[in-house]
Amino acid sequence: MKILLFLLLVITSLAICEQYEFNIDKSRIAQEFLGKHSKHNNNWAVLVCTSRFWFNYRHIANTLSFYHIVKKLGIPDSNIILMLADDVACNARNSYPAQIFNNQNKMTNLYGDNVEVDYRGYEVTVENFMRMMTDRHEHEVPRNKRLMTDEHSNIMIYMTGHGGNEFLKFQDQEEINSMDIADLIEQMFEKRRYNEILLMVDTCQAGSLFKQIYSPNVIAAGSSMIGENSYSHHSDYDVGVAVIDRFTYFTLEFFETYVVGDFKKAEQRTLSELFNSYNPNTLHSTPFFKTELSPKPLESIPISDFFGSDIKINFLSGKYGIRGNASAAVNSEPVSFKRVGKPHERSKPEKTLEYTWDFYATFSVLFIIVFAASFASK
Amino acid sequence: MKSLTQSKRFWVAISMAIFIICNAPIWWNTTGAYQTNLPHEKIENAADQYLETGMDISTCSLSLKIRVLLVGFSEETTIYGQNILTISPEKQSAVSNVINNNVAIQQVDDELNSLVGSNARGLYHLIVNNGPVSRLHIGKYRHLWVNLPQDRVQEAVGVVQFAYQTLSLNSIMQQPQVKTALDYRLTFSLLNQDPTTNLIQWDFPSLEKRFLNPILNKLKPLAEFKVDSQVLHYGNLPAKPVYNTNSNRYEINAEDMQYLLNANDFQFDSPAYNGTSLQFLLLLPSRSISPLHILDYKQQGPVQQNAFIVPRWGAVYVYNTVKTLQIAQGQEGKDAATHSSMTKSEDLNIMQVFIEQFRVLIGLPSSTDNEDVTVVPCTLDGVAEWEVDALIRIRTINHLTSALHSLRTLSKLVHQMPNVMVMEDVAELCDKSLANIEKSNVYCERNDYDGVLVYAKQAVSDSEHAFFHPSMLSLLYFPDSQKLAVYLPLVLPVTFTVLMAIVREVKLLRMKKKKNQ
Repeated sequence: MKILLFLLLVITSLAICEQYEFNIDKSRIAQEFLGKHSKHNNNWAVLVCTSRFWFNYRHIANTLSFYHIVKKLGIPDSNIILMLADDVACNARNSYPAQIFNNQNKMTNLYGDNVEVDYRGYEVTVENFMRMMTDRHEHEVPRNKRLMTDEHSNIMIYMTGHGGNEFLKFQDQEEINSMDIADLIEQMFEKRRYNEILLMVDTCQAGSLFKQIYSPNVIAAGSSMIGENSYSHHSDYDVGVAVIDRFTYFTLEFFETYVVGDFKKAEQRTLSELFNSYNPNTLHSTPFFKTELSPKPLESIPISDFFGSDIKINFLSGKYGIRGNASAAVNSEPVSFKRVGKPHERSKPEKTLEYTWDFYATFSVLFIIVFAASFASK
Repeated sequence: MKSLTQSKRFWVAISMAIFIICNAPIWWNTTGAYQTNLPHEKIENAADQYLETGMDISTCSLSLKIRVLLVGFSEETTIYGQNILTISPEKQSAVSNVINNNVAIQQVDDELNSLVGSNARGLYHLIVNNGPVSRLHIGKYRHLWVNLPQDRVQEAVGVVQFAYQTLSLNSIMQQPQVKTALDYRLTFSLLNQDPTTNLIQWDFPSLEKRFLNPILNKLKPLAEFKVDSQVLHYGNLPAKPVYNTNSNRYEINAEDMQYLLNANDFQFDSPAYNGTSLQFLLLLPSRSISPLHILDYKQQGPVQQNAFIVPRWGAVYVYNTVKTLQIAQGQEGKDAATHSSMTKSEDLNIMQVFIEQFRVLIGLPSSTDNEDVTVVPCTLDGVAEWEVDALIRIRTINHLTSALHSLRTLSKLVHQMPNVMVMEDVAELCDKSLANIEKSNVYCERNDYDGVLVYAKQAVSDSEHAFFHPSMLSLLYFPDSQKLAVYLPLVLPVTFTVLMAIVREVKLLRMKKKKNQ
């Protein structure tokens, strides 16, 4: 009986989760924020659509809508990381080939000229998302897939897809957890990879995704509270599927009403105006905002801090009195400037995410136990 | 009655128990992420040792010394508290001859260098010449000179103070225009808006040889530079320029120009290069909007050089070629073809602007920054010796600080996040980086600029590689309740069987004991 009790104890102790305790340290926020640099000097946008398949047309339209907002307001393509999990524009079911619309009036084709998709189709995975956020890439990964931010960068992150309580589904096969997102942001914070982050998520129970975030200077906005669904806005009967989600639709409406692609107008609108513009009745869900991590009041943050980019150019009044090395053109050998820095070392084959291994090991152990037990009982 | 040790059942049960007990930790271990031991303590010690307390600034400080050289003063003249360098009277007269008799500043500078130049990085000679008060001159090498009359010679103390400030370049490093990196790629693009009527060519290889290679060679200890060039056609402007009838030119606002990059779909950065890139764009406006001038932010007038710097990106020079200017002024027919290459003077003009911009981008003063002193420009290689020294000084502190910060952050994160994988490579890189930090501090005590720089560069590169090592990926987080839910259906049925077997064995054992008694 004692042994039984002991084993029960082991099982229950396993069950009691060793919860991380993260107390939001207000002093850290204030110190980091007020201390050095309150003003950003570059803007980045990370736009993620996590779901594939034709019936998720609206998620791709959502993401592209945000892409056009930030691009129109001045963030160059080199500073936008666009992840689209499917290519609905070229789907055989698309009755408007190579076009994507976010409204049944089909006024603007979202997939027109000059849309640079950085991660496409099967490249949109949790692993790639994590690598992109923490900048831990293989050496060969090209520049456009990298988030090259620093402590002066404001980052606007938009994610859409299907989610649930504290998770967001990627590609119908894996999930990212709220804890993962919190840890990613913490890693970025510690490495000083951002100044401020605005995280907007349009998915079911979006508010639950922010639960674990504990790093300073992060503002998060979700389309719905825990336990609520987020809904699509309307369907297009020619396309045959819903074309946009409500939260994104009303965000767009705000931008079309008050900003109209004009940076100066974006400077006059604040985040609190944007957040207050959402109406739970039209949204069919209650938007959720997490603002306590940012020491600035929302009323003082213009939306242009995240949507758009305003980098002042500097003028120089002089020029340098160089005359050049006239003889160099004739005599000297061409000097080649090579990259001498060691190419990235790749010695051992690296471990990647191997969940299967755990299962394999457990199964084999269990198999032996069962086998032995049956042997013993004979 | 067989004894217990002879029973087969007993051995089977015992071996199973040992098997399970031995393997349980192994299994538990495999469910977590692999984390090798980082040199946490060493990192903490290094941070305590080499970072200023309470601040994230490296304590490594290369010193800067100024020796004063009095020329033409009476013998007993000294300056209180200054390091005085004495030279022979013949040399003194030679020096004073050079300063007093030459008009060409470049010549004075070169001759002074051959007479009393300093060869050590961080050691500068301030020549105080007896004569009517003049401005402070900073040469291309490691000397400065100023004229002071005998009765005001004590003012040299103030001059020395001022020279310290100027030579250390402390003030301008407040606003870094581009990231401090170990290698840069400079891309020079010629963007021709209208190649059909306005085909202008540049001979970039020759420009590179004449103007860029000297400066890049000189900066080579600091970072690796790679240069490439391209010619682009048909670019757009972010807004339509407005024609100004008074001054007979087209004008575009600075507010519009800051979106120049958005207006064009050109990929200026090579996707094959992941480091820090600096772009230099020579924009030739199309003939229909020439000559094009940029108005400053206050819209008071055109900017002086018609060129600007985009922070963190690079520089743009809107260039109205001589040919298009002539056409605009009616000196040539409107339909005159401008298929030509740039002239020598145009080349010079362009490169003078680009070199100025490049210098400002990497943190050197612009040619108009120092108003109170005369800085002798380096006509040949674009960067003075003392400027290289200052960059080394600033960058080593920067590198060491960032290396220590990366290591400390890494150690902290590994503690904080048990589901981040840490492989041996990362630990090795950390060790290497720590060793290099130590070495560079050893050289720092000797005030050896080049030695410090070499190891500081290595340290920061290792620490960055360690932090951004691709193997350092966090496993997905699963709440423990979820783990339990996954494992329990597998474990529970078996557990009961095993438990029952154990209970039965124990009962049997007791019964046997009773029988034996």
